[in-house]
Amino acid sequence: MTSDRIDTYLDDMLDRLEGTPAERRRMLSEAEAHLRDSADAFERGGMDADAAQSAAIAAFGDAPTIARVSNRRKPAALLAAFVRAAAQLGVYGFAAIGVAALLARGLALVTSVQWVYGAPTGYQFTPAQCAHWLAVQPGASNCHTAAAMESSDDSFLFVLAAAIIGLVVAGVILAMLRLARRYPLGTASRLPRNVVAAIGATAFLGAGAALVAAGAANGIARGVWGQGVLYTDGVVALIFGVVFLIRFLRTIRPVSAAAA
Amino acid sequence: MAHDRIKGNLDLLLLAALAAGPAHGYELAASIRERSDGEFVLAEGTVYPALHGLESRGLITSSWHVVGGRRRRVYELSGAGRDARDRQAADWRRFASGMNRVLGASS
Repeated sequence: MTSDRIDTYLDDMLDRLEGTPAERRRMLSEAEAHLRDSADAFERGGMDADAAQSAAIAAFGDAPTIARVSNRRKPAALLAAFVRAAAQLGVYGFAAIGVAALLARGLALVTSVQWVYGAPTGYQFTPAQCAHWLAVQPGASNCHTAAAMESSDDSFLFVLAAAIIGLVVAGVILAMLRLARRYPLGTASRLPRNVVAAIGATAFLGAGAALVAAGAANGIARGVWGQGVLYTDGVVALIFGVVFLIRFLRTIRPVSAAAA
Repeated sequence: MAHDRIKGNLDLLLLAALAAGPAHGYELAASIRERSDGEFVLAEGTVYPALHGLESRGLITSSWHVVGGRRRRVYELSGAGRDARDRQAADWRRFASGMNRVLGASS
């Protein structure tokens, strides 16, 4: 495939433009028509085709500058974009918590409540602690089991709270979308998809790696409760992170291999 | 220096250029350059974000047309745009008149 200077310029500009696909496509279409008109005029003035394209591009302005001017956002639109991205990532975060909690429950059924939720092996309860756990879990046969059962119940309440907060966040997003339709902010009120995907990948992969590492360290140091929960939380976070990473890699695929 | 002044007044220049009739971006950039006798030479690409901003404020409207075998976005002044142009042009003339009087008095 052959390419001219204007094609290369437009590829560069497309790579730098932000906003919705419609906004980027419109800016690119207008830029191309303008550049071709301008190059035609320079050619009619006596320049050869290559020099005419260079002159047209010089008159139009360099791609980073034009893209920067085009990408400028109103403060309200920028704030809306950040809130929207944070809410979007928040919904995924709460979904991850829910999935991890279900997975931990499943793991507790096939392994043991003690390993998934309980205190590390060899943990010494004081008589007061032991009395407390047995009081709140009277059906348990010993302190370790009582503590693990209570921890398991607590995790259910934690998931319930996360689900309620998640629903509230989802409601806020829906309300924002409805408001955005009624009162459009003009320019795109969303962060570029690759930025949101990069933040999601970094956050989930980082959290996943940290949780799995904590689970593994717990296996050695035996200092923290709920080794199984750390593993399930970590694995789910890693899966969400990989999904975001794939999305990010898809958004940064090169648009064109055209050379000048 | 002229370039910085254009940046601050690009919206008015575009509204004024569109007062002559509907036009696409290339025509508008050329019109501003010619009507200013080459004094206002702007990075032509900056015209488009300014046009998009004017459109989002309801001062101009636009639609796709095929002109000379090429698909182009053609812009047109709206009623609100005409009012804004008249108001901003009057403000600018008052400012220029004041500047001229001050400059005339000091020379």
